[in-house]
Amino acid sequence: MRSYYLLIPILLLTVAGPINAMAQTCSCAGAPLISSQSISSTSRGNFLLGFTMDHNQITDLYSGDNELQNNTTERSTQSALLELNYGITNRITIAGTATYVRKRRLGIQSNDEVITRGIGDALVLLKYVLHQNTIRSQYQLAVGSGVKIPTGKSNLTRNGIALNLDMQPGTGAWDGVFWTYFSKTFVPASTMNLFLYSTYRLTGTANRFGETDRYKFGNEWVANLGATNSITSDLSYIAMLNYRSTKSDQRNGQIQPNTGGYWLHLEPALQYTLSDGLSVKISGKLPLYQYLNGLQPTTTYTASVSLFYNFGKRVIF
Amino acid sequence: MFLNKKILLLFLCVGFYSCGSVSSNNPGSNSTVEASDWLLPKEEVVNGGVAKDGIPSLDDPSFKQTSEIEYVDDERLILGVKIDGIIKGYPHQVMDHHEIVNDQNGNQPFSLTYCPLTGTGIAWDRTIQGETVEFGVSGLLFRNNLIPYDRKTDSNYSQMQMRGVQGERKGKRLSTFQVIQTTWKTWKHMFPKAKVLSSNTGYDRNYSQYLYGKEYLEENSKPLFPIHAESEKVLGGRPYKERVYGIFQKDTNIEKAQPETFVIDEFGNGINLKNTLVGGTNYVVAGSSDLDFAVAFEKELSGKELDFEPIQDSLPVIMKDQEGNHWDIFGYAVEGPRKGQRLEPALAYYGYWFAFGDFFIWN
Repeated sequence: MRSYYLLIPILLLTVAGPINAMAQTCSCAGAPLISSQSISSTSRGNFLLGFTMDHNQITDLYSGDNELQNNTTERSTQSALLELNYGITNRITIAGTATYVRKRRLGIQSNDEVITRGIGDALVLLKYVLHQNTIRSQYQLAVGSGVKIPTGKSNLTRNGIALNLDMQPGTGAWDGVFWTYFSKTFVPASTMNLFLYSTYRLTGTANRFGETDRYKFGNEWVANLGATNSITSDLSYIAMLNYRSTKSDQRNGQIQPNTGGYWLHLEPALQYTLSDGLSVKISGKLPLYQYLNGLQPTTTYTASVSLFYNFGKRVIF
Repeated sequence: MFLNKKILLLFLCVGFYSCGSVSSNNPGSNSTVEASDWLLPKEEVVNGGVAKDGIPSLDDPSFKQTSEIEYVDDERLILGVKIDGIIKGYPHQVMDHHEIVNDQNGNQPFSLTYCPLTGTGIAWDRTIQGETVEFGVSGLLFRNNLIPYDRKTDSNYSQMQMRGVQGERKGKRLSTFQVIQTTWKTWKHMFPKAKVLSSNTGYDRNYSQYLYGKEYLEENSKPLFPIHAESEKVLGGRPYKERVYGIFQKDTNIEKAQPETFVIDEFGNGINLKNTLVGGTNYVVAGSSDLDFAVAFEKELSGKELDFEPIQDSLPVIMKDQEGNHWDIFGYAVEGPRKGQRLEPALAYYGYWFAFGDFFIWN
């Protein structure tokens, strides 16, 4: 019973996110580094590998919550994410995610196309399981924190002219990342698993044009609420609501217009077990609601395919 | 275990492939630009965040009579021209979204350009080599300022320098027209029957919003992109976004220009006149804080120097001279012996104080 009290501050932290997130950033062209942290933890000595290919189509144009006809620009981002989780103990897992990003922007009228590609930023998280799922107490609670490392370039140029930050593979800044995970099972009544995980990115600043020019992407908060259940012995579904908010970007402390907002997506997925320890997941995101500050292009849909392989005996989800 | 090794190898292969070199590619671009091709310091030209024509110019603008326009608030600003005898208004609310209108009055094609970041509105002849061309938004900025390009030669231009700065038209000066700027309230009073840009642009935009945020218009708010440390010094602590009217010497070397600037808010209420000498030419500058405008004209007309005094409460008429001529805001004599004649407008435009400081003053 006492362990339930641990949930209260975690859930409060989770719920508090949107209150602080009134004016936020677009930044929908980045790799889904923060929202990809779906793996809870692994047991001691276990090694879990995940590889995800993600396509983010950005052809919608929004002002506030009004969708506008977009006949000027097409954008897309393709990301490859390599995620490794290793169980140091049964409660402590270290996780690392590396990314590779390809971004495309096309001016429709001018047929002016820019493509950037390169290694994106990386994420290292240390996760701690506060409560293990047991048959008598069927929930798991884990927290974690780490850093987003600016391994991606943020100074790419085109014909010698600096490209905008949202076309760069990286942000150039070190960010603090805080992560929480909660899941609930109902064995033997049901094989369903409910889960809620949330990631908060406290963004740092980076030099942009000279040492006195400091740019800061808006703080980002992502929460995922969902359920997963078996369809057959090898196939399961995942139904998830994904909420994301970002504050407006700042340059030298001044809020940047047309950045920030919040998004609510439906994220369905199917996961299939190919062999012992190896599974494949296909998923997508469809926007349900979004409110964007000013005028911004935004995600029309995303599609992802992931491979997961567990090198040990067991994975705790 | 064998399977484990194969899987690990697969992931590592994919991982190494993903760690390929960083590159930038522009396969569809119609311009490959060499660094030496620019008249501007290349390192100060930046991508503003949109693709070429990502901010769409208006190439087939539609207009309504002032009295029929409903989307503009009284305190919002509007740019106006009188070209080939036709007065037209271009509200900032639309210009924020499009920045360039390719327009024509009578036989005179022109482009009205507006940079929301520097607050500069400039109109120029869009005839190139005898051909009418369209200007578009390149997506590039120089010191916060719009870099238009022309769709005939793909040359880039500096709006505030009013000249080509890259490409075939590099170094070519643009022939400009007088542009006035005032509030919608004053405009309605002056020109109730004039044509004003309609919100029916063919694009789906929210023209009632402040596209760059209302905060961006506050006098003490900072520019979107950083300005030079040297510029900060010469700004003298005055607000970045203080709106000024800058007058340039005729035939000035724009790179070394030292425009004479007048702060709109320092003209005082009602219409007030100031005389100034710029590059050996005497100008009369008429302005008003509450009516929110400034205009400047050469004092000499047909070999005679005129002395002016303001006329109140008769907009668009703003001043009269010793000969009894009454002059309107576009410099036309509407009454008196010189009726129909026009004072020569100064080479001048409106803009934020920081923009003039960063572009010209410290150079």
